[in-house]
Amino acid sequence: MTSEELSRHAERLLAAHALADADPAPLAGLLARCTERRLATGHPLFLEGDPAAELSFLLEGRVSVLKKDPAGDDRQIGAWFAPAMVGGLAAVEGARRSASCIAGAPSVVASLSAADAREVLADPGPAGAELRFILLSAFTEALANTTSHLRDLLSQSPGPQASDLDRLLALLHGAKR
Amino acid sequence: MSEDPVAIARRQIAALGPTGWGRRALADADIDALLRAAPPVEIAAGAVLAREGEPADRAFFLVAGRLRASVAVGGDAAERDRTVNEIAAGEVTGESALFMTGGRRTATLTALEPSTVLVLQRQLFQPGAPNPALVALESHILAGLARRIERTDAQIVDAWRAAAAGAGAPSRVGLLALLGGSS
Repeated sequence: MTSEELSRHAERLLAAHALADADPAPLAGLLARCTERRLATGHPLFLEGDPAAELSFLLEGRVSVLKKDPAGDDRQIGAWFAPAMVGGLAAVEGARRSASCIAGAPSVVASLSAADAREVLADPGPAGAELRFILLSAFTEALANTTSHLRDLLSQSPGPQASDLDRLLALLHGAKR
Repeated sequence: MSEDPVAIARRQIAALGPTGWGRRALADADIDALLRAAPPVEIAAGAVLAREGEPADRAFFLVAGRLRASVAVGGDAAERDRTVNEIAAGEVTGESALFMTGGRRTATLTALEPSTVLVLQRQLFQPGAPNPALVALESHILAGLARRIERTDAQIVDAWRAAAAGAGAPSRVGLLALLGGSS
């Protein structure tokens, strides 16, 4: 990817996380350290239960978010559209994936190992500051949107129904329905 | 003569220990820089720090005391003032105000006992001049948010799977507990 392309992707990612006025150079530098992957439609980025080993930036395309229902079947709860950060919890918790992400269209992702992401997060410099802000923005937005929607459901009669839970899960994962 | 509030806050922060501070050792100078940027505010027991529905433009780092987060979600008395969370010293609350724009408080915050908070303004967290104490605080907030997301996910998934298995509508009480996830 050229430096112009990296800069353009960094600008779009920053704008998507309330940092439209930030300097794109530090995040572009971070994207340059990432492994670029091109996913064909239907190709998994990661699967539910996998170790959370990478943080990814969806630069182009769309990925579907799926969770296993009690019968063990994958059920789509939402989707991420570029530009977006995908699987950000990997950089903080290092737990297992709580959902699967499958390309819903030809997509381009830039992935950073969780170990490298943690190293950047601890960096007081501008790349660390931008990555921390993006994660903080993504996590707070996911929690705030989930809480807000749940509150609306609880305030209405007859209250939340089973079918509303898909929407709550999608919001919590930062995905769109 | 009363003691300097900054000195008290410095001691309170030290008392939180390393686990209350992002597992990161900080120099006194770093903490002093944070206290200059976010001076401590003392809150009397029973005082309301933020009200549900108000515009949210700052967060609170509780360095001493205890806060209660409550919401009004229904018509009866219990649901007009339902406790959804208690915030302990060392926790940050209201952080969505720092990283989102145009948000409103999703809960009312009331001091349960005499408390001290650092009022965290949004501009402190814009990428720019690094302060090691702020980096530690951001890491501390990130870890707390990640835990809340994982906990909330587990609770919703439990309800989702129970509903899919034919248990009917999700438990209202269980879902009310999730409202404590952010304020």
